[in-house]
Amino acid sequence: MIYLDNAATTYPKPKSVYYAVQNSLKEYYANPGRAGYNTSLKTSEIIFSTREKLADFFNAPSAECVAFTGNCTLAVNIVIKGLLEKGDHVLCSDLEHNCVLRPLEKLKCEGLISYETFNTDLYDKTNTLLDIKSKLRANTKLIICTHSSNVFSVLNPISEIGELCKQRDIYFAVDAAQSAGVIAADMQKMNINFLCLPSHKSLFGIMGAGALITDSSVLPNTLIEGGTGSASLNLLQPDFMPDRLESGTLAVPAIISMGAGIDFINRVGMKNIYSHEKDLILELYNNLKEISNIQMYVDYNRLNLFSPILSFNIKDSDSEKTARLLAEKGLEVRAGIHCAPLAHKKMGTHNCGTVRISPSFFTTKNDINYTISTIKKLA
Amino acid sequence: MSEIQIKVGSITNAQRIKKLLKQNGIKASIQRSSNIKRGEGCGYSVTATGYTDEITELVKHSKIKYLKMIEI
Repeated sequence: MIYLDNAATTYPKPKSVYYAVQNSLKEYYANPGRAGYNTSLKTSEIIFSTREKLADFFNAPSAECVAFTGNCTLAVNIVIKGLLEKGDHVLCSDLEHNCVLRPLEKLKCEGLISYETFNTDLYDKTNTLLDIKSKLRANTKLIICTHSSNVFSVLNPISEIGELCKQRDIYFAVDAAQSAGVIAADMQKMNINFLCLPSHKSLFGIMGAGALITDSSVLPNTLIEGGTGSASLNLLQPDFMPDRLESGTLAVPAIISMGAGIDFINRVGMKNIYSHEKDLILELYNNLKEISNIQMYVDYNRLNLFSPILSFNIKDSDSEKTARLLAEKGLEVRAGIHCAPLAHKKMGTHNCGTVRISPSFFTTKNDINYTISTIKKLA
Repeated sequence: MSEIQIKVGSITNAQRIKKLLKQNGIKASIQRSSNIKRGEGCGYSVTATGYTDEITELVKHSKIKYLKMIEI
């Protein structure tokens, strides 16, 4: 089988990640931040070093700004539900994943907030910014958007949105699920107040961990409360990071895997990883667009930067059926709506979904050539 | 040379202080330091060996939150 669903989770992981996870079960078995014996302190040390790696990687102010969560969705929920109050207005893009849309919709249905989507222009960020500016209100408290669409690979201009938010005193949160590890995000340079990310995608960690990185400008309210190993006689949740947002035992093996993944990216170089994945997507795109029966949605030759994702359909064929046929030929790809309903409405694919191909650093040119020839035969 | 104990609320801040001190050539280690009688509950402390003034100045200017510093 050729695995091409890396936008859902990356596979394979670097060998160093497998080793780190295996080792974590043997060497870092104690609960971190709960006791004073050596292995508990040792486990706390490696968790702290992963906080530092993340803070450095995304240029966050310090290690304490990194709160580990169960996944990216939980991080996004903490921002939305921990920050917003009755009467607040929020803007998000029309490319959002349900991890952003559903919490917003829930708060809207409860009569707490209002939200609107802005139009992400696929090729001209000036239009995106104009649309955002036209939708800002006096009570706009937060702009939250995905760095990259998980279906159509297009990026939101987060640097420019961050600048706008800074000028207007609006909080800015970025869902970096598809970009973290492959496209740079500099929290301080881009004025990002909250960065949400998963371990198991392009950071090459395993499932079970994510992170919410803050810039310390505001401490969100808690979604869950519980044991933190600190200030235990106080029945109120600690008011300091990261304890405030980290109740319960951390997913130590997954967090350690995220650190090993970052080490791998730093060794190989994020630019080299991006360059390889970009070349694979362009190879796919330039070959598939020549097939008359293939419907493509994005002109990759017009994009300066994009995440390694390509969505397509075989005309008059259901996306799930195409994915099934590809699986029979040994290709693991994902079909459907990909939890991003508004992105499909925008692109006119809400009735059929798309077939999504997402290679990784470990995908070879041969894998892509086989994919192209297989799709040609099906089309 | 003295031993200074810096009490902190969280293990993360204990680690940040330890790192800061080590970067400045000061020997430091972390211990579990619960003070249940005083109502502080669970916590950690950093024990540093060095010149009192140097340690206290470094920690005070670091902006890392600590509960108290005592010479032991």
